[in-house]
Amino acid sequence: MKVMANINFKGGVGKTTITWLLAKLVSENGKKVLVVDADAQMSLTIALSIDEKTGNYVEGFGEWYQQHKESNKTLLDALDRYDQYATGKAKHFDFSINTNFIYKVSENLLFIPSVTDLYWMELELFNPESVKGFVQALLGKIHHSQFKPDYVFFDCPPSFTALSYSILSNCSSILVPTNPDVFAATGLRIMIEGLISRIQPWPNPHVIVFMNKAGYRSDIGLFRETKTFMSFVEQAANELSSDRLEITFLSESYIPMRASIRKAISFGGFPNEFKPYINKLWASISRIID
Amino acid sequence: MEIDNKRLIKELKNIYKSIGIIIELFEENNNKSQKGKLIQKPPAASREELKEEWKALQNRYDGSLDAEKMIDEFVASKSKNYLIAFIKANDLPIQAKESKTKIANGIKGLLKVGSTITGNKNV
Repeated sequence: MKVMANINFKGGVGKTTITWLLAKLVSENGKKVLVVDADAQMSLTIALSIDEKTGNYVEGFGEWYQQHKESNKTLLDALDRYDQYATGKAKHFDFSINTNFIYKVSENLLFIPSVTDLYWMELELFNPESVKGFVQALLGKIHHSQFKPDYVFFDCPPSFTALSYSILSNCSSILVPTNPDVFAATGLRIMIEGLISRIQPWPNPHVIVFMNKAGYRSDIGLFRETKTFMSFVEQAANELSSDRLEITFLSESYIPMRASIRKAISFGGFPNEFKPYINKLWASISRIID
Repeated sequence: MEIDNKRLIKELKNIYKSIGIIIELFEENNNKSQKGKLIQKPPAASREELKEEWKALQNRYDGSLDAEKMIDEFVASKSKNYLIAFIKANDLPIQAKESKTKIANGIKGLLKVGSTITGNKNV
């Protein structure tokens, strides 16, 4: 089971969209994929559950999500149960993995949504150090459940939270989408420096950086501005890369800026013009992680 | 005889004048073709050297006034032809047709952005 965290401390770089498109592609290629919305802003959960036209829940998901919360099977409930175990209030991490916890989008695509309570509860209730092993314990349970995914994608919040701390401490690779602008590109260095100083010890994750929202036109190729930013980001990645934390910048696997990306997330949606780019991105990522 | 000499001198003067015009035209054409050669002449530096030069500027840039001056001097010392090749070789988002001052400002801006992204310790 390969575990990937998609993160950048700069919001709006396309973490959620890329997480979803990669997961969808890999699941369509015959692998079982679990996507976890670990961001309390719930972008992925909202995008997947709400019908854009009607504003209602997508058929089937609404009832399931209600049941998910009522049966105390949310990510926050799991974190709470682990915290009780980690702080000695419970003997075991007592949280069973069932269909109330994981939603089946399709045969190969599984989903754990987020909850808004995660936003505040996590800050107030959990000590990052005590719940550091949460993700590893949860993934262990999922691995031995009926679901047994080949890949797990975490859509992380754009900040260090107790949950993201646990995810980053237990994933095999960290995907970092960036954009051709100074804020997003600078975010990479700030984040990596933060990871090096805050997340220890490392299970040696491989950090994979790539350009999203690249300025591109089929007749002229990548815009010069995008190329310049890619060059700066590559330099930053090379300078920050070390034996302890290997960083690879995928200079050939960029995702172009297109208006249709807005329609990328909805049950069943996958703009065709993105397929070659997501395919290429996944091929590059696979070469590193497999 | 005297008339013949006068006519001869007149004809020689005409020939001389014609030769002068031909020489002027020749010189003019020659200058034009030389200028043409200058425009088409490739820059002295290769693409790799131009890329190395950009790297060197990035390494030397530390955000100080001296660094800004270094960029101004770099741009001032290069021909427009060279700067066009430099911008093209490094895919810099700078309008090569602009004045040298604007090109220098463009380079300074990129170096500042690059320093922020890469965390250039010099800055």
